[in-house]
Amino acid sequence: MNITEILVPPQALAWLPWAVQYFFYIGSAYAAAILFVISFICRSHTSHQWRSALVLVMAISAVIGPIALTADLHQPGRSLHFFLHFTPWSWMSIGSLLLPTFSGLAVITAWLYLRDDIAQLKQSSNIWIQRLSLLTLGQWKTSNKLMLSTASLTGLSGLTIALYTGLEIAVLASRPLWHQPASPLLWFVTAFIGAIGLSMVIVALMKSQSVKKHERMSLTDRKIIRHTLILMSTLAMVFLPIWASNHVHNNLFDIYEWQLRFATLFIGFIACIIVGIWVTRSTLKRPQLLLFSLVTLLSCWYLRWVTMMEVQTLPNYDAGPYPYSLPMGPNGLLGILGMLGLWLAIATVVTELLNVKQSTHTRKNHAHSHEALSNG
Amino acid sequence: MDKSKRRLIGSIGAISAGAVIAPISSANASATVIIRNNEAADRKGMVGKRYAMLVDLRKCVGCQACTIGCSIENQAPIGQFRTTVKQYEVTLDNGSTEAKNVTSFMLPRLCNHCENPPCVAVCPVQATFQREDGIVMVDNERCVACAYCVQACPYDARFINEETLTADKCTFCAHRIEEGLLPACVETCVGGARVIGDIKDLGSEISLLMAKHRQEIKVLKPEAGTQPHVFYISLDNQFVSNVEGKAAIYDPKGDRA
Repeated sequence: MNITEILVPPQALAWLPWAVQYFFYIGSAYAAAILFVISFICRSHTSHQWRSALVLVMAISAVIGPIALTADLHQPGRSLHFFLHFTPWSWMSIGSLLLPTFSGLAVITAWLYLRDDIAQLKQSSNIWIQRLSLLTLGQWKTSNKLMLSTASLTGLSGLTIALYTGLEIAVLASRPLWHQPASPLLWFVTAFIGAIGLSMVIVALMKSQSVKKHERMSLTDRKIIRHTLILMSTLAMVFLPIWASNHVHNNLFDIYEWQLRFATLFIGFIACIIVGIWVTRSTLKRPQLLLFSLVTLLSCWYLRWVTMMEVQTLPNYDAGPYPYSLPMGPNGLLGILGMLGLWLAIATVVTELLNVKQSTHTRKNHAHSHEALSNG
Repeated sequence: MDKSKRRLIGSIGAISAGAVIAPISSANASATVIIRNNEAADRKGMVGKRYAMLVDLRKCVGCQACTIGCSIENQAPIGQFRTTVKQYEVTLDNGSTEAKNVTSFMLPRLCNHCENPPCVAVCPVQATFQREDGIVMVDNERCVACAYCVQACPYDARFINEETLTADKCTFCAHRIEEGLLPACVETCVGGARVIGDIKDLGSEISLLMAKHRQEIKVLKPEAGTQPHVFYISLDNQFVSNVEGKAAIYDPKGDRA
C-alpha cells in the first residue's frame, strides 16, 4: 500500500528554543558545581583562577537557566502555581522545588568562595566599588570545612538537577527518542563540555595582569579540563548512536538532514577532544581561550538543539516531518542571543569587579606556583 | 464505493478485537495507578457514565464539517484544531488491476479521552484532569502552559492555544453534553460517522454499535497502553500506529510553520 499525506496539519513545536537555553545553562551550572567540588578538594594543585571561573559559571548559569525556563512557560506569570499545586508524581513539579534550591546553593557557594575577593574591593579608589565589599557580610573567615561542605551540598543538589531534567523528558513515552536511558545520559555528559566552555569565557574575561601569577591556571587545572573533555566527548560519541537508533518508526540514519546533524555533532565532539589534548600544550591567551570556548559551547549547545528541538519535528503518528524554521524574534534567535548576552553581561560585570581587586591575600597553592603556566 | 476502497476496508481485522474492547472494562485492565487529578468536587463530571466516541470511517467523506463545527463552537484560533480530518491518498502495490486505482482515506482525529491518559499524569500543577465520566479536561485558569501534556500525548491531540496561551484540546464538548446536546462535530457530521455516548449504558447507541462491530473495531496506537476511548470502524492496519508514506508538503510561515 502506498500512502501519501494530502491534508495533515503539522503539530507546532510545543517546547521552544527557551527549553534548549534552559538545558544548556542549567547543565553547565550543575557540571561546574561538580567540577568545583573536585577542584576544591584538589585545591593545593588547582588555581584560584580556575576555581573562581567554575563558581562564577555555576552561579551565573544557575540564575540565567531558570529565567530561560520561565520564558518557555507560555504563562510565566503563573509560575506561582507550581508551589500552590505541588504534584509529587510529576517530575516537572519536583523540579520546581529542586531548581530554586540549587540556584540558591550555587549563589551561596560562589559568594562563600569569593568572599576574600569581595573583601579586597574596599581597597578600590571608587567609593561605590568600596561599598560592594560590604557584601562579605562581616569580617569572618570562610573555613575550608564550611566551603567544602557547602560546595559538596551544591554538587549533590546539581546531581538532583541532572536527575530531574533528564527524567522529566525521559518519562515521555510518546517520543521513543526521549524515552530511553541514553537521552539523560547524553545531556549529563555533554553538560561538562558546556561548563568548561563557559569557564574559559570567564578566564578570558579576567585580566591577566590582575591575576597574580600563582593564581593563574595551573597544570592540574588543565589536566582536569583535558580529562573531562576527552572522557565526556568520547562518552557522548558512544551514547549518540545508541540514542539515535532508538527511533522505532524509521531509521534516522537514512534521513539526509539527520545524517548532517549527526556528522556535525561527531565533528564537534572530536574537536572537543582535540581541544582537550591541546589545552595542556598551548598558552592560554584570549584567542585560544575564545576558540576553545567556541568549539565546546557550540558542541554542547547543538547537541541540545538536535535532541530537543529537532526531535519535535518528528511526528508521533504521521509520515512527516513537521517543518520548523527558527523565528527571528524573542521565541527564536533574539531569545537565544538575548540569554547569551545576559550571561555575558553578568559575567563581564562580575569579572570586572574581581579584576579591580588589588589582591594581597595568599593561598595555599602559593607553594605550587611553579606549576602555574603563563596565561599571558 | 469503488473497488480499491473496498479492498482497503477489507484488509481490516488483524489486530485482535480483544485488545480494543479491553478499554471498555478497563477498571481492572491495568495494575498501575492511573492518575486522574479529579479529587475536587467540581472535577467529577457525570458520575456513573463513561463517554466514548465511535467513528465509522466507511461513512466519513472528508468534508471537514466536523472541523468547522468544532472551530465555530469552541473558537479555537485559526489554524489550530481540536478535531480535524486527516486525508491520505492511497494506492495498492500488490500487482492487481486495482493497484492503479487511487483512493482517499479519511481519518477524523481528536482527543482519545484515554482511560490511562499520559497527559494528566505529567501535569505539574494538576490543571489537566479526567472526570469520572472519562472526559479529559484542562483548567485553563490554572494551566501554566508548560506544554508538558502536549509532549506527553502520543496522538498530537493537544496544543498551546495561541490566544489563551494555555493547553487546549477536545473536551467532547462537555458543556453541550451536560445540556443534553451532541458535541459540535457529531452534530455537524453529514454522514453520521461520529457517534458519542455512554458505554456503561449497554442500551446506548454506541454500546449497541460496538457490540455489533466488535470484531472490526480498532483504536489508534493500542500498544501505547493509553486505552483510547475513540474507537474506529474500518481503520486499516497501516493507519493504526504509524503512517509510513510520503510526507505532506508544507509551506512554513515563520512562527506558525
